[in-house]
Amino acid sequence: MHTKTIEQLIQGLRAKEYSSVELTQHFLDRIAKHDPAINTVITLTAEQALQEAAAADKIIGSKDAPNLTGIPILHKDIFCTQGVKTSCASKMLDNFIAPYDATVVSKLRNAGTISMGKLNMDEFAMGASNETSFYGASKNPWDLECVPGGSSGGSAAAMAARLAAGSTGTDTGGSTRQPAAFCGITGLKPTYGLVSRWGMIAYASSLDQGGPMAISSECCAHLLQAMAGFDPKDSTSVQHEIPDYLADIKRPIKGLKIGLPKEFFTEKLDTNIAKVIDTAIKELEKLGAVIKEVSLPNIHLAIPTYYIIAPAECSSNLSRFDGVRYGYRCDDAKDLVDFYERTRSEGFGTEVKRRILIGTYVLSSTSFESYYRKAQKVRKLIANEYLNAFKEVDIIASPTAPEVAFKLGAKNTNPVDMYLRDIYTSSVNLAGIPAVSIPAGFVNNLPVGLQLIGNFFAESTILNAAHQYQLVTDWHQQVPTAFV
Amino acid sequence: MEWETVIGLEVHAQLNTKAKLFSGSATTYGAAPNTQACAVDLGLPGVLPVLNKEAVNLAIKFGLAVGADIQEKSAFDRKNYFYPDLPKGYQISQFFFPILRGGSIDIELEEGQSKTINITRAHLEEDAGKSVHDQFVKNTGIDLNRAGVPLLEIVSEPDMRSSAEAVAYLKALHALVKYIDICNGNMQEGSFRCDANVSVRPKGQKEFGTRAEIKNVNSFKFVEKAIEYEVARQIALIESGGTVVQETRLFDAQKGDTRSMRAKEEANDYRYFHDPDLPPLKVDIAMINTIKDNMPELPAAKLTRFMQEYELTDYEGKILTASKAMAEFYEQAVAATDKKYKLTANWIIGELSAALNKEAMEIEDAPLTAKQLGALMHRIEDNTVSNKLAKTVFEEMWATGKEPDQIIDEKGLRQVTDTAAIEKIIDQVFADNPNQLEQYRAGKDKLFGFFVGQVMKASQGKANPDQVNELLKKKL
Amino acid sequence: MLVDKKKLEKLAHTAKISLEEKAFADRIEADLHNILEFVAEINEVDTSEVDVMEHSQSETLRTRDDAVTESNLREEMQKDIPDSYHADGLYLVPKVVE
Repeated sequence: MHTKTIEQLIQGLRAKEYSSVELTQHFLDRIAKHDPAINTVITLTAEQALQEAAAADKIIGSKDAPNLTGIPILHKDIFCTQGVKTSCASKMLDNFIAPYDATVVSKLRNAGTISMGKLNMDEFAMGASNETSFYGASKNPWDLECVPGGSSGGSAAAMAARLAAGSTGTDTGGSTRQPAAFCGITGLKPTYGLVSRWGMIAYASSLDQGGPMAISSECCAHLLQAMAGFDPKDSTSVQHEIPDYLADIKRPIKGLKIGLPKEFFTEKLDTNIAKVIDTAIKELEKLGAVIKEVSLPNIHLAIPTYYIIAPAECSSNLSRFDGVRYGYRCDDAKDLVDFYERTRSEGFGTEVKRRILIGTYVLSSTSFESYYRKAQKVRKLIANEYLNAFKEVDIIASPTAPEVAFKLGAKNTNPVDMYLRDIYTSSVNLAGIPAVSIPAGFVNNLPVGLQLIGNFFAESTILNAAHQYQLVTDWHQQVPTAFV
Repeated sequence: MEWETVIGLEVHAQLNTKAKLFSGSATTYGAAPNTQACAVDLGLPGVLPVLNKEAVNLAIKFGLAVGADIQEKSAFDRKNYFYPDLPKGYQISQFFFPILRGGSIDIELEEGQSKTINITRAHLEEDAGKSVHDQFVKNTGIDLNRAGVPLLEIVSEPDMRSSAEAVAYLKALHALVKYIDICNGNMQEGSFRCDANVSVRPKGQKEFGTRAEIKNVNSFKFVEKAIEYEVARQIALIESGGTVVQETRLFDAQKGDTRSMRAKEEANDYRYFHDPDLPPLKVDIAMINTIKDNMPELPAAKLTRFMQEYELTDYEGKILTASKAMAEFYEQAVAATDKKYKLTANWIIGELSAALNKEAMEIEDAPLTAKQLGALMHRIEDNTVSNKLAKTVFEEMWATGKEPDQIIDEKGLRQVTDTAAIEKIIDQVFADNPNQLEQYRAGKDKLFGFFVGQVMKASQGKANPDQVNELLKKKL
Repeated sequence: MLVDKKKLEKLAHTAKISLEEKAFADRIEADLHNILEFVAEINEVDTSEVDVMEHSQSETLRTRDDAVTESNLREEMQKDIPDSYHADGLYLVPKVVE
């Protein structure tokens, strides 16, 4: 059951081949068996899940039953889940029980999904390896000595190990796509504003987007159909008519124009990865896609721009964690200053503190113009370059990451080395456009991801290309031996 | 050395909205701690702000009332600092692009002249919560009911040159925000708060001196005292060789002095930046026109109209237009008469105001309606009751709320205007007072008053005084 | 130096983060310097013609009606936090002197 797609599971449930309780129990058993090795689940809500599954079983097949009735999923622990611990993988929220549901959580519940628990991640979504989590690193099911990527490392690893039918992640600079690439699954970052941020703990407000992470593009389409949509509680939520993604992905892609930015395909790109990507592109050509070269001249400025804007916004977003109304609080504070400083210093991990300090720096009055203001302008420049490129092509393709999953502990000396991982992904968040990462092959027995980037609200276009590719390839169906 | 005082005032007015600026919590004053603080107000992880349109409407209303330039596009910024009553660790305000720029308010100085005080800007921002220091021994308690309540921050140019001007401006601004109903102006409850920026400079000097900001002045009297103390302090400091430090000072109402604030002493770098959770706010002409069409008549315009339409003096006009309620009362009362402008004015300024003052009552709470007063005026004008007896009727109306006609009939106060009836009474009086009659006819003119009195007494005050005079003259 | 000990102290004080742990403080100083040097690369490009973009879409702000939609939530908001954090409905912090 655990290698089936969501579509297959929906059919199976409707045909009463198995019940939602059986399906949920199956995944719960797999979590109990396999998760100790990969450490993806922070909080398990088994009892609640089985109750919801039982309720689902009563209505499966009836005409009122929503599309995803009975489908068990896991949520990245960045989404508030009412009555359930929501930690953001931080000591700061280790004691936090969310008093309300994120819109993503309630929408997926209303679509019928069963939530089995909360997934590990980099602390406060800051990282690209899931190593900064308060609950310990997650491991890559393809090689337990390697990272699953981040910040949605738990989601990617859980899906690679087939511990659920689908999961949610969030992406600020590449955090659904890069771990998807490292773990050989499909991860989508939707257009900014398509998915509500209400209840999604904020890292960088103008960059964050929640998205589906699952074993295929079709699975992601199922989940996105439920997750997407205008939310009046989020002022950055966009009123946009949600297409029928599941219908759209079935279109043939003959004539689809795919652009390859020359700046992404330089001799700096690892040859083995380049080969995998090249093969994948040729596969798309066979399906009728037309390949063109495009140029994004200032794309190399994306990472420095990102590492000014994201820390700036995060330094402000994380000011609310002060121990006063919820969360971690230090013991025996002698005065208010001590209260704040020790609570925050003891509650936050090093990477979080690092980014808060950078953010504080770039927003301070003496630096504001030369860092923050300048970064906002460069951001616009980069966004315009993408928009110009989309006048020529429908999709832009690239590797998702410059390398395959690296060993745990490998990048711990200079933070800048870690930041450079985001080279293909962060510009997408700066522009606000959507992108998906799909498995395209292996290098050294570790998965390689192909990234497909679309124009605003072109989720259908990129999921369509991804799905058609997945109909003629089977990279996405590979499961690490230990987890079969 | 002659010194000149320079004052600018920053006023925070709590806007009369039902719900908060960015959340749906109630804004009512006095609720139990944290019973009006939802997830957004508490700054829980994952919450987001959504702007209350009424706050924008009220800001526009203010802009129209002071002739400000209403910005078509404005934006919300985060003002970052740590304090326990600031749940998110930042306040959502408008730093770079406020919704209003410019505008002015005219004040009246003691000698009767007028001065224009210019407004630099006004913007929307959320209020912080409250700290409770005296409830616990080792702790301060934080109540976030007030966190998120909408404020309009109104910043004046440093145009004021004395504490008197500052108080005049503050009073005028206070009256205006109440008049156009955007703020209830309750200073005790903190709905209208003032910070004063005070500096001094040698008379004739163009450059401003260093200013100190005085916080926590929550009454007109305290504003005056605080400014006067601060001016004296600064002058003394400079004259003894010291320099004024740009700082925030707290006014101590009991001691009457200002002292440096310890907690906020270090210059805070607020790291303002555009709030990424809120796209820019657009205000279009249609919106402004809708609000303009529904604007109440402003005090100055109303005064001019009253003086013209109702032929009132400046003095009468000012009293009757002092509040919207008073003005409304007058107009409704006058409408129930036949253009008895002066009579009605006199009664409101006189009898009614005296009665209100005696019971420390506002005109909104008067036990009789404007229509009823007008009806009484009408009965005076049509001679049903004399001006003197009308006072009795008024007292009865005040006590019972009954209609004037009902009281006049019940108490039999109807004025006697029938000539024959009065003549009959006069004849009776003559008959009862033969000596005085003889004396008057012999030349004692003074006794005229005696006869008037006797006729009025005999008629229980109901005889029409004019007719009594006329008929007595005839018959004597 | 983009970041020296004094500047770092001021930043830490502003952000309410303690530098007491020496290992952390030393490391952070080096890290910040590396990062700031790295991001300064953005200054190489000319952006004089560029209009500042604050949002992906040029959305304008939606507003909501002035209505009270939240009731008394004190019980809910305080039931899952430690008892020591609050008393009599108020949140407790060390005594503040104003």
